[in-house]
Amino acid sequence: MKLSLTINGKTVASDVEARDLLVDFLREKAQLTGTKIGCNSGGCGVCTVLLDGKATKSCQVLAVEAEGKKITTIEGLSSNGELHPLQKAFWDNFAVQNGFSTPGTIMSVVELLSQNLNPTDEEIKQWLSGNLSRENGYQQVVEAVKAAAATMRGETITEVSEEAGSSPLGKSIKTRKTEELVTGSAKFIADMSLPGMLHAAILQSPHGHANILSIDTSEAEAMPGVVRVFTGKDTQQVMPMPVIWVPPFTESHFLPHPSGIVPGSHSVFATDKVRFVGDQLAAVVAETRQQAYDALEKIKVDYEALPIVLDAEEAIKEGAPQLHETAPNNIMIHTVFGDEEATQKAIEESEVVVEQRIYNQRLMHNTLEVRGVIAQHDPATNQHTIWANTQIPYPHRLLISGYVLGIPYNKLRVIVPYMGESNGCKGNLYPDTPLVLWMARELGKPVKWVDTRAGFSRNTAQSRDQVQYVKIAGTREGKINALTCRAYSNVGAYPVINAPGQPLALIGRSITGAYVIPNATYDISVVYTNKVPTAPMRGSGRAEAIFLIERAIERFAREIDMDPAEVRRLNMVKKDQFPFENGLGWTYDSGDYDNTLNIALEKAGYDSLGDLKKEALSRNKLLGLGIGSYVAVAGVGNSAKMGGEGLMSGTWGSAYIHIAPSGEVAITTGAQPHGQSQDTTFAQIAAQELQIPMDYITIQHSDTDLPIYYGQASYGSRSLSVEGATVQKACQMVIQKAREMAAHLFKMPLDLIEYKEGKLIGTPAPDQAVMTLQQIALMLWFAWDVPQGMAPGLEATAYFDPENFNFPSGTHVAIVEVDRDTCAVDLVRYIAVDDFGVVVNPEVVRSQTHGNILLGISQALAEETQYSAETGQILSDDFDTYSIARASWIPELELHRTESPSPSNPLGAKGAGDVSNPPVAPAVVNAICDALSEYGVKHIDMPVSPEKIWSVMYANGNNPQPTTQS
Amino acid sequence: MMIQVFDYIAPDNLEGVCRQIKDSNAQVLVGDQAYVSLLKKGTSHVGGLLVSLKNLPDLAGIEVGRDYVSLGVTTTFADIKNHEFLSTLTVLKEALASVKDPHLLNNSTIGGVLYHCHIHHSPIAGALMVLNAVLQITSGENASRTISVDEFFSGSGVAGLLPGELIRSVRIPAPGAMATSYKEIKVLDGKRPICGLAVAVSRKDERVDFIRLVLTSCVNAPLRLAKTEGFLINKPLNDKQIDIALGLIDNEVIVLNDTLQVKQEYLYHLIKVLLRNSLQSPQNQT
Repeated sequence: MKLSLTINGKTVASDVEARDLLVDFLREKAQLTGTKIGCNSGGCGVCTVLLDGKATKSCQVLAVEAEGKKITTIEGLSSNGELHPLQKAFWDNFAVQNGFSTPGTIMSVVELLSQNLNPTDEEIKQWLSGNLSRENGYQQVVEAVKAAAATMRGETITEVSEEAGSSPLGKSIKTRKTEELVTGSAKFIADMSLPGMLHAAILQSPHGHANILSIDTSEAEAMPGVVRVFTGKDTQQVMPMPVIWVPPFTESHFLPHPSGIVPGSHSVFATDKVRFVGDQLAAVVAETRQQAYDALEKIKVDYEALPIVLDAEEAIKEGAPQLHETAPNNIMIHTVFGDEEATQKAIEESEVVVEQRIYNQRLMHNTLEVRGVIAQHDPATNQHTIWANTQIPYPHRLLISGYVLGIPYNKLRVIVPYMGESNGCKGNLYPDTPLVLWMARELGKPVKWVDTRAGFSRNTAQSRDQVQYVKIAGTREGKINALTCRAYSNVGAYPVINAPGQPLALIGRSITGAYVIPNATYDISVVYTNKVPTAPMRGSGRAEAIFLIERAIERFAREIDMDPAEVRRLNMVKKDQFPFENGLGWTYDSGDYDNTLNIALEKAGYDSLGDLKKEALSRNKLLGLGIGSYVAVAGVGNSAKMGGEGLMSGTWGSAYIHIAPSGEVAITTGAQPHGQSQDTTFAQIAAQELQIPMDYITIQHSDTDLPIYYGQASYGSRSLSVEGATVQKACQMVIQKAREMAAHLFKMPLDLIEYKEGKLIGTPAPDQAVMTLQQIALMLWFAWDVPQGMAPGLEATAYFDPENFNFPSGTHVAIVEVDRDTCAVDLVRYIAVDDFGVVVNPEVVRSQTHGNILLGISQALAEETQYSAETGQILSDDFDTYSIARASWIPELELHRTESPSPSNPLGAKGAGDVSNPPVAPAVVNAICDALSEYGVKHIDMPVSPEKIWSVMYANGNNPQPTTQS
Repeated sequence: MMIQVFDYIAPDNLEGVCRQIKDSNAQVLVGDQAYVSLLKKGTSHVGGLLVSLKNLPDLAGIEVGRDYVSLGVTTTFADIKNHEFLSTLTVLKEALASVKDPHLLNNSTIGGVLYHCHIHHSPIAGALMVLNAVLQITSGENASRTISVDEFFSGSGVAGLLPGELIRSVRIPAPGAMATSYKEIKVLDGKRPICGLAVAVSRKDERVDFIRLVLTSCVNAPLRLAKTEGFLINKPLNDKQIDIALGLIDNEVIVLNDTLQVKQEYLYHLIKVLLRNSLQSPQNQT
């Protein structure tokens, strides 16, 4: 049927099916891809548009119902080339990171400001209850809305101009590549298309564990638009995914891989057996996405259901269902870090021993942008190209070419478009990615696959999921002597490429946290189950370790009836102890842990805690204060150390810089931004080093054809301290070359050539012997007169492999109130004091910190992946069933920083991207346990729901009846 | 999450709609976004024809009479929330205030409350029930009947409509001297409520002479707490009587919504909390 409506003031008419959604009409028929698809169930708000001026989630409206209506999308918001005040304010206030959720959020608040030009924080948060942010939280969004409202009220905003000529480091310079995000013109993977492109849909198993008896694709093949249906019979030459993290210090049980070089993981299609509900069995390629998914439903598979095991402790028992022949008792790896004998002896000799079982629950990364791939193959040149929203384009190139498809490395190019947040899940190699490329090659046409929300919940790695049996021991005066943890990590059905990294080193070497604990051991069993495979997630490993030690120290303090803050202070690594060997393999670089603890407690009003509790009780609330102190390894890496852990890859930073004859500077980095603003911060570093305006500098990434040897990508808070330091080094290298060239041209000794403010100056005759960097670049391009042995061109390639990691640290404090009647938890204050070393762009770091805290709060209070115990099916496959923190949960976050430069890199920087997540969940849970301490509650596993609180209060014999209010 | 194929029609007259929905394979689209969720989840199978009301603007009106308010079936929550009549209906005002997401306010309708009764419709359904609202049902050609919201939800709901019947509007009588309220419990702000309670109460000589207690959100359709209501009639609303009433909650027949994944004991506890807070609230005490 014909549909006609007005979009952004223009009439758009097209044929539609009755079932077409408005969001699809906007994106596919009107080509307005600024409106995104996230959850596709009205839960996230990224598809919000204005329908006759009203905020509307376009995924929840049939296109035919919009007949004759007026629609405004993000593309229609600016006028006469001027950004709308909201677009400008989001940019100015650092409310944009990867930007995937930005258009929908802006469109939603456009209606708010049309009704109310002076909204309060609370009104804005309530209005945003239907818009999720998974990346940078909500605080800067609220600030942006208020700033836009002020502009629209006619108030003049005074822009703080940076001091001319001052250092760009340490300044909150507006982020680059943000205008595209606030206007919706940035193209994410789902927004892209190629001429002649086909669309794929992939069939997933409905069973957690089953034999595949038969697959019948005949009906699917006959469906309209279907080009081909693929199954495991077609892909026998495609190798399984490789694993590139093999710990050399212990026995491991991976799956075989035909290469014989690395172990294997799962195949692109299951052929004999499915082992989790995301296992892929077939793919349909059709002319349209709708046709592909329609045909997918016609594939008939006969299964023989097998017993499932979802729990790691159950999986290792005799008689448990076995997933892989190569892994007896489902154990992938078992090992111990630390001196078991000495630790056991220390425990036996201790006055006080406290034991606690902790379950760090399974989380889903649930990026608002799902994963997707576009691939094409040119038979004439044998060139393969992948566009994918991956954190790791270079490893994709290496692993897909060499270990999955067996194609030449130099014939595969990987390009990353604008990418929605990852939270770690897009740092893996999934079977769908090489499969799409392989299908494109088979069919001779480009193929696009973009997942659904439900599909994402089944095929994209999940995280955490570790059971820990913790013992902490010490004296009655509060000195801790020993810590042990026996842990079971549930890594699901297959190992991902770096599977052992999180449960082994990242947790195991981090469990002593910010404390001097002379005896510590970590006994870890990494276990296969019929769950979705796991991979790192924001805070990866450090989050589980810090939760463990911060809960343990809290339990210990209460056991000996000491102030938990004092016990922390007593055991913390002191300022004069750096570099500090923690006994499990990390060497902490710098910091003042006591200081961050003291600042956090002072800001929280710790001394008046008793009064706060009394006042809250008068309102029928139980108030609690929780502390989370942390140290988190960051800045991967030192390649040799990472090799020692088993990572079969270097982890050095890389950068290529060239200065064109025009003087323009282009720097290609090995980092892979996905919301961290390296385009801005790396340009700040280069501008500082080259002493030229930032506008002259372009930062390049996201394409393996760029002039760089290899990029080790962005993950685990490594980008600035490793790749950023490499950019600095590259700049220093071209300055050195420019000085040598100038010395030659000026006929002066090198030590008399000064580099200052973008100029090469011969100090004996500064007025005559002076050339700009551009002039030197031009002379090197001419190469008419260069020193003997000097290559033409002003360019350099730099590498930086730090000798040590870096160790950001800090203390967070949460204050909660628990309602005595409903047991609902209200987070009333949150104070964070972090030390990220030297900070290049404070607002960018603030934005990252908001995101980290948001995720931690969300984990502590709400998030958990739910499985059916009978079938292994995932029950939490949308945003109704998987709760993510919304704006109104979060109080104003009170952020503070100290600065202890890291000696591990010349910038003095420490990681910031994910390191401030680990203290959050323990601070919140400690606060809840503090609030409930008078009820005898010692521990509650996350997520701490009101129902759990009610249960433990009731279990302890307290009155479950509602209190009488007067 | 892929929607099955169906046919679609949007008649421009009521008779046309009623004629189309006489077919048992036809379903009506009352302008509420919840229907799309049902289509995506496959829990609503249109079976061939979806009949939209979008070309019947008369069904989207608010009519304020001397002793009633009538809400057309496609009237949105936002339209109701912004209408001045709302100040006279506290329970409806408070129920609407529980819906925060502007998309839901703009794209949820009275029809959605009655035809779908999703979790975010539930407070409004409870408010309509305590206000003793009445549905105006038409089958075209001037044929019509009425049924109270109470009967509608305690019966078969929308399944009880005859072929060709359409709910045209909801008429809410003026509450008179009744005090009304709606309260709910969300375990985390921004999440869906896990239970809510709509209350209407009037007293004579310090004793309750009318009371209606409607439980929402934790049940599939709004549910009257009949035993508790019966007990409170002719009783003073003091702490002692309220305590006894709380104990009666355990005797109510409550079929809880099984999608909540919350223990029954905890839910019953919350219902008691709501009941106490509602009955003790100043607006219901005066």
